[in-house]
Amino acid sequence: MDATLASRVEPLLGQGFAAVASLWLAMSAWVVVDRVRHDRRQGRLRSIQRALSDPTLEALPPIERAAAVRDMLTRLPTLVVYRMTGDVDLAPWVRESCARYALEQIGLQRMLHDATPHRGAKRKWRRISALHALVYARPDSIHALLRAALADADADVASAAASVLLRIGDERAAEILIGGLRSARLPASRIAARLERFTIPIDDLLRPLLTSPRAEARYWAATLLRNQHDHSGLAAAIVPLVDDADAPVRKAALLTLAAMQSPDVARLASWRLTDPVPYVRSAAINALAQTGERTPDRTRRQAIAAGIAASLADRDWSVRTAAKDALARLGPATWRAVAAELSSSDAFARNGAAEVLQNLGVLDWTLRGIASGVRPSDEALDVLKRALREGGVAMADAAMLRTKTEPIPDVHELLRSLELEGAAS
Amino acid sequence: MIQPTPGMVSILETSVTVTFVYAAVLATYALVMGCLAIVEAAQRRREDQAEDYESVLESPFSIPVSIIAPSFNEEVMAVPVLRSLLAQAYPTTEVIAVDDGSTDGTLAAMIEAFDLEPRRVFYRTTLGTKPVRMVYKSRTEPRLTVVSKDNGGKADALNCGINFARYRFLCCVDGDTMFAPDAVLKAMAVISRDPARIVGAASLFGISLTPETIGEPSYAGPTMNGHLLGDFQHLDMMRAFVDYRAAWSRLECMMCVSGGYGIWRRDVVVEVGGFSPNFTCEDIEMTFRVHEHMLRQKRPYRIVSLPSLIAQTEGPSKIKSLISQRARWQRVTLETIWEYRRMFLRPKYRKVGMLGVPYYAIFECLAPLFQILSIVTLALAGLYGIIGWQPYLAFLGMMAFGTAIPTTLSVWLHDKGYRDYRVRDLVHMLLLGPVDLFLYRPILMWAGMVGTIEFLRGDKAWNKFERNVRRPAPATVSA
Repeated sequence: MDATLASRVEPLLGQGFAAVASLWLAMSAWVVVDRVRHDRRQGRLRSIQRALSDPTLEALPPIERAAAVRDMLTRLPTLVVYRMTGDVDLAPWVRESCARYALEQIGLQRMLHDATPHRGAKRKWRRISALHALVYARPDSIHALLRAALADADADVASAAASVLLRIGDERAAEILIGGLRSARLPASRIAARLERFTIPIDDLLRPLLTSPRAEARYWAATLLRNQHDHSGLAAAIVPLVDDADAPVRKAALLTLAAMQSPDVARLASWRLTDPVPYVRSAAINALAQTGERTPDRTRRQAIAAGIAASLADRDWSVRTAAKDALARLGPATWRAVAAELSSSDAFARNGAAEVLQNLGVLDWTLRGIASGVRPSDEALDVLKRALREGGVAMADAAMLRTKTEPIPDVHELLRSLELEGAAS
Repeated sequence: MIQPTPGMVSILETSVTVTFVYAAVLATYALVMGCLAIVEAAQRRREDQAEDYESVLESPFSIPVSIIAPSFNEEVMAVPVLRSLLAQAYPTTEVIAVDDGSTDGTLAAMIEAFDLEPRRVFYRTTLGTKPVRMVYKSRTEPRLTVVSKDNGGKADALNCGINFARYRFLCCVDGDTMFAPDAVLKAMAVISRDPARIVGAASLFGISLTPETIGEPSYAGPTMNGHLLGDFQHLDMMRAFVDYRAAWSRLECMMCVSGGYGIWRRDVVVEVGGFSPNFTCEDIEMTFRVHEHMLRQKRPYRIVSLPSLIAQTEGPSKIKSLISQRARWQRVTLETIWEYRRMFLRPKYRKVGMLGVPYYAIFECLAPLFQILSIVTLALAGLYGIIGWQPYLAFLGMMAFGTAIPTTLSVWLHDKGYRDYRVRDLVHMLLLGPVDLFLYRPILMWAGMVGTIEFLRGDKAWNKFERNVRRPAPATVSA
């Protein structure tokens, strides 16, 4: 039976070859033709763009400018122009011209129909194009259409709706996006990214959400208010959220209060350093660091550093890392608060303190001092010894390489006393 | 004409039939994959056009990414690669370069280029690795950490980088791959739409003999190498990503997130125990392991392959080096399939078990064997007159143009989406398609056989190919 199959196939091979070769040839020709056509279209677009860079034309209002590109657009299929309205790679003015042209050709009613909920992939992309194009027509129903699109299960449609709402940029658009934070299928962070870029103030819309029964709404309200100034008691409205039952809300509240430079933030953040949730503790550390960085009062900065330094012993790695970063941000002036942790009974705190002191440059100063024959203070020498003991050979090695210190007798003696002689070689 | 025995005729006729059936199955596979790739490419193209990259780029809520770049003896490439990674247009990234005990000047080059200073860093050892020798931080670029460690292979170096990584998503790259500025942005824009489900992502990267040109100011889009072997490899990658992997991605069983550029969710990688140093390469095995883990636990997840060309990696310019590299790829495919043979045709592993693993087992692992058997069979059948020379040549021609069709399709799909090649490069790529069978496939076939033998011998060597010789920079003429 096998042999019969082979012999049956044999006469067909010639025809098969001709068919496959023709198919390849046709496909290849199509690839080149498609590209050449595209390049021509782009060439026309570019030539229009060049023409429009003429200063006299640039000053024209958008409608007249659109008329200037009309000639070019008439040479393109309407559907192509329609799709171009949603192409973010094109300059806004080109998209606007495309939208106006598509609107003229397709008609508002048809476009409104295209913008309604869809079925099937083809209709989906028409819907997205329609939503982009309708921005320029601004029919009464545009907000309702965008609200529905934002709530759509399809991420492409929802994402396009969010972008279009940002382009509209009015209060109703902001309201829809805020609503979408809790109901849309699109990740809330993608919607929040658009809300962040709104040019009109939206704090009045976000403020009521601070007391929403929904934790997610409270979280995004607190987060998005970060860039607003503390006016009309806004910070006071956020303060209760530091004790919220929901951990992300506590975190957002702390960071927002720090960004607003609320006078209560240091007290509230210090309190949250013992929060049961690690990322809230990290946020508290960041809030404290922001406050510490801003304060010109050295004693207060020391106190803040001491508070943060205690977190070097935290059981969670991310909190310890946040504490190390925060202490480094607070600068060398806080080294005593950090050095105090070298006496901690907790190994994480000790080696974390040693690492921070290294990053602050404290070890390098002392080592350079010894190498240049200047005897450091007993306190500095003690800190150096204890930090190197915690950091071990690797820390001593790194310090020697960094400072390019020759192992002169004093340094050599110091390392020998710490049993870190390997570093000197 | 040599007269064969009746028994031999019967065997050869059966073999010829098997060859025809194999060719027909391959053609059907290519057709189905091609259709799926067209649908997938159309969707990705529209998504890409509609994506609001500006919002992702400017958003403080964009998901931060830890980029891990292991390198071993990459003296020439290490610095340009790190520069391309540090130049990523993305809100929050950190770059962790892991020098895996290089014996050349890799570390020294990095120290000099980025003004590195040694630091003692206490880090969490979530994954066990070879000892860390020293950690370096840059005085000029705070996002860069360089870790110098004892040599332990790429998987070990990646695990070491993971121990230092702070962020939830890891972008694991090769130390000889140069990245376009939007490499992370393009992938993360897709991931950020569904970060709870997407645990892995890959994207197309090109093969270049001098990939560092992508970072040069004069770079004006991808071009062909002007070197036949390099061009065939480039085309091979395009076919793999734009056609086949896009189709597998559509079917939700994308089986290989490449080591050249792969984004993974850190928690998942740690859950499965990190990259395994027990395999010749780490990438395909990690993808299989993640599939196996997530399906066994019945957790929703996706691993996606994206069609945009985001990087260029160095490909061998010599046939011997190419055979060595591809033999390694064949070996790791066999090692992985053997390791995960429990997933083969098991409904518990859904499409991965019923489609992905069987495809790899039959078409990837056994391909060299089938191909060589086909050639021998057809040659003998021609010699003994079982098949006439004309049908024989027609079959060969059909195969040549048939295998060129997926190439043409991938060139078209890529061009439709990105329009980044010059027309003459497109024509060059299209014309290479039909000769691929005669000039390039035999090399891959041979490499496949070598890899299979190495697998059977239990060989695990990386066989790093010798770096290509760079053209000297043109002399500057002073006025």
